[in-house]
Amino acid sequence: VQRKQRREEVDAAEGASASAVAPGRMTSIARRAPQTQRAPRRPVQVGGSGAPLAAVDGAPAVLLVDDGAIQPGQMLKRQFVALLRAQIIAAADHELGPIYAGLGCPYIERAFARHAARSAAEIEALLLRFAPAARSARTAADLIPAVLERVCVGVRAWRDRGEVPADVGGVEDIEDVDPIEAPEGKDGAAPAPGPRPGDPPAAGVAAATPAAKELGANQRVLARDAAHTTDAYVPKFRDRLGSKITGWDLPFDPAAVTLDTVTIDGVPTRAMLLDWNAAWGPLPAARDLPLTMTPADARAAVTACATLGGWSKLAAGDQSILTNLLGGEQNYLSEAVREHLRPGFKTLKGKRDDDQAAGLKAAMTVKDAMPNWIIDEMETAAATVTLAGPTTVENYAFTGTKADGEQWTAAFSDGVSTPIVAPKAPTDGYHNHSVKEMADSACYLPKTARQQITVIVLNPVVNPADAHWAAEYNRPDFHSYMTAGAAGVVTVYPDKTSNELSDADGRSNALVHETGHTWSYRTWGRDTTKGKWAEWKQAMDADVVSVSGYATASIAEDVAETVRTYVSAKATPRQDEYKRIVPHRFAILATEYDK
Amino acid sequence: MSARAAALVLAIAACGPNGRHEPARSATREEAPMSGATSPTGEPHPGEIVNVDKVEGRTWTRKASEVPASVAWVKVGDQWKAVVRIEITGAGDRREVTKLGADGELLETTMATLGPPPATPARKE
Repeated sequence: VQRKQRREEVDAAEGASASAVAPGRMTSIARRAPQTQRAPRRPVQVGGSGAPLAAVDGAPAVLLVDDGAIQPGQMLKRQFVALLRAQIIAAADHELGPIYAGLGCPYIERAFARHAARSAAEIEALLLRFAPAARSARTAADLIPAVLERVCVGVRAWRDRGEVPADVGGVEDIEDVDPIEAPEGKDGAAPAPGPRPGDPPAAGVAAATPAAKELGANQRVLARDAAHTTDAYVPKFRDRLGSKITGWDLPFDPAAVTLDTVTIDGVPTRAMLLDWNAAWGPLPAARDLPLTMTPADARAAVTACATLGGWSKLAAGDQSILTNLLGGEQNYLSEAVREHLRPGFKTLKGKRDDDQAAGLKAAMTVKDAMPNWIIDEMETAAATVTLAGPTTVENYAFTGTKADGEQWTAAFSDGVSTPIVAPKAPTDGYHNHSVKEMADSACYLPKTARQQITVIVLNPVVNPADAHWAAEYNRPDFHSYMTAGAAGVVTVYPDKTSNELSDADGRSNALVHETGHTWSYRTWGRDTTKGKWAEWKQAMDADVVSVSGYATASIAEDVAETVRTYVSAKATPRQDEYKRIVPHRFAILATEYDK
Repeated sequence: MSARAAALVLAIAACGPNGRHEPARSATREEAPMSGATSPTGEPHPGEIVNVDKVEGRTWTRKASEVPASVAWVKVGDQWKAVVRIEITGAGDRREVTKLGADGELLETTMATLGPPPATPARKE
């Protein structure tokens, strides 16, 4: 069964009919695209993976396919994503120089990591939202120029004005940042962006509106900023919420979304309101829903799955796991699993109970349903730090070279003291994190974990093993970022100055993950089948779910990734969600790691 | 510019911001590159390193003598330990290279990125 999502027809963008070309030339192709011929409108149909697809006006209705046979003009998702990624990197290279070698741009890397788990249909829908001009595409390759053009606009803005690359960030967080397309004005221009939900209402907005009513007990607020509380946005909110709810085959009456003036915190406020339908599950506790509408989606997902005949075939423990997994409103893992399950949900509903149960159970563990590598926001430091030094260390044995170094002492507020060694002379053409940046990242580690670090070394030269791996994998720019050794030495390698260094969250996530390896092996021993490792394995079996695709590689990676998730979620709403999703492992970390 | 003046400019350029001479350093060259057959302090390697790429699902073996010492040996504290197994895990462009010694002892883990494949020349139109 295909999930059909009606989309507004938009004026067909000027044709973007360039087929795949060499990555280095894609930017100029993208820029030229608007001058080529007009392409016919293509009705957008978001289909289930692998389903036979009907041709529309000679073009396939769905351009990206998860697997199986493809029609002319279609492309397998994995092939398309690889092609798109290479061309985005090439386009950014063209604009900025070779910025994506090494660790690359965190925004683009994060976007690909975050959306890697999405189905072909989801990816296609995402791209059409991000780059509306792609709606005229008649082949999968035709999607790319429009996407590249949108990326390049953002990259150029960053280059020219030094602003945060909002358009690149738009790829990363398109659903979070602006999931509701701006309706076009008379001249096709979108309205100016307004404040986000939760911001105070714009002055005068409520004054011009009718007398306010009280917010109903079963009502929730979808938006109350000036930009999103116009009549033009009502159908947008209805479409967006409706696609989520009906994706779970639950009833949705568009009239449930209305624009009205209600009293919020004692102030008459123009607001986009939702009359909650009990058929979607329990009413969300929070009055204001985010633009992603994840609370509604999470409740609908749990409710829909629980009403399947196959649900009763699941053990109570599995029901609980699925409820917690699908019901997460703040974490990427829950979102990824919902996005994995939703496109095929109606198909699943049509199957026998046993098959439904098997499908639901598979969603708990299938790697495709998990985000691969997530750079979570690090929000709660365990300590503060002051730096003392430096003292000169002559002829220090860095990895791959000996050179004079400077040793600093990072004194943390919990009493831990860690030396940090940096080269006295930088290497021409290369840069690395600063001593302070590494000390700041180490603040997120709990005391016990930080004590395992014997020294942090900012290496003057790249990892000498890189050349070996570059040859083994035929990847000339293979680049080591950070090594954690069994003796507690953390080594951070420099990168070419033309490559952007990892940002604060990327650096901290890497440090927590890598030192998670050091901590676990030094604390639990080398035999991963005995002692605490065996306890961890039992916890893995009990939790069933893994926090990321990266974690599924081995028990050691599972520990490191769960440690990273634990630290990044600390004292955030995500923490309670993960405590429910991987309770046994978080319990071990609470007693073994977080002290 | 005379050859002498050019030499003077080059000499000044070779000095650091404080006028202190800072020898140029290569960021990619391993100092005293050597085979992995023996450790930097002379211990012999057991012989082979098994590479297990769990992302691509392939396993291959390299003789220690065929790889650089930086791959075949890891310094743990004051001791050089032979690498006998390397596991490569990860997702997307990111890779985790885990070096293991005898009896499965973890020696070190490295987070890395593959980088793009070699550029192919643009097709002539």
